[in-house]
Amino acid sequence: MINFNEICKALKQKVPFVLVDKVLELDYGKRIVAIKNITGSEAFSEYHFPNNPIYPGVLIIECVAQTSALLFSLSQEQEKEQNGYLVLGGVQRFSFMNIVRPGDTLRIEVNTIKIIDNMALIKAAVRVGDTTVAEGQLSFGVAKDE
Amino acid sequence: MDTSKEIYKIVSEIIGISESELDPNASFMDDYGLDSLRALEILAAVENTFGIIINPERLREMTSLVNVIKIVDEYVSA
Repeated sequence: MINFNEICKALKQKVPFVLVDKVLELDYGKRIVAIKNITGSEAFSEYHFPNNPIYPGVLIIECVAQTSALLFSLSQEQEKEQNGYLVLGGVQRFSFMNIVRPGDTLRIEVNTIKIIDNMALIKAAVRVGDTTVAEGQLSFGVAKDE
Repeated sequence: MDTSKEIYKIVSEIIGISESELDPNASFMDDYGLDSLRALEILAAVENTFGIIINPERLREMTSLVNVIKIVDEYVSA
């Protein structure tokens, strides 16, 4: 299990834009499962929407992107490589099936479809309990610090 | 399995153009506006459909339908 402090070290994103709370499972280069707890104190709940807080779909995509970036980063660390970090390049066939609200815990499951050179393709499912709230495919490029 | 028919189906879905409208010689990049990440999708989809692993170096050759069919045929018949 990988805790929040370790996640913050592995991700390029910084607090308050770190959207993954804990990694539950990790199969280097292949699969990762992480969780994100949704709370009513997050900024979205005041604005999206007033008196009816719904976690924005775009942030669910960001949760998946950060979970994927963790898989890539931690796998590189394991291989003692450092080729860069994932940046979101495309969102394909991504659907939102159920509403996510404060109090929900997202279980983010990411499976690698293909990683080559400076590109990666992943498939993801996001669940709350036994209910799938979103699923789809994301593609990434690999960025390096200038 | 009809290689060509399956590849038409895959490319049509990824590009978002009906199979009947696909020009087999058209350039994915210049004519259909496909970028390298979408090309990677095509590569992954044909690998999954035909149970093959294509050398990533070949991705740069996968620039049109005819080229994809040619490369997949090489692997399927090997």
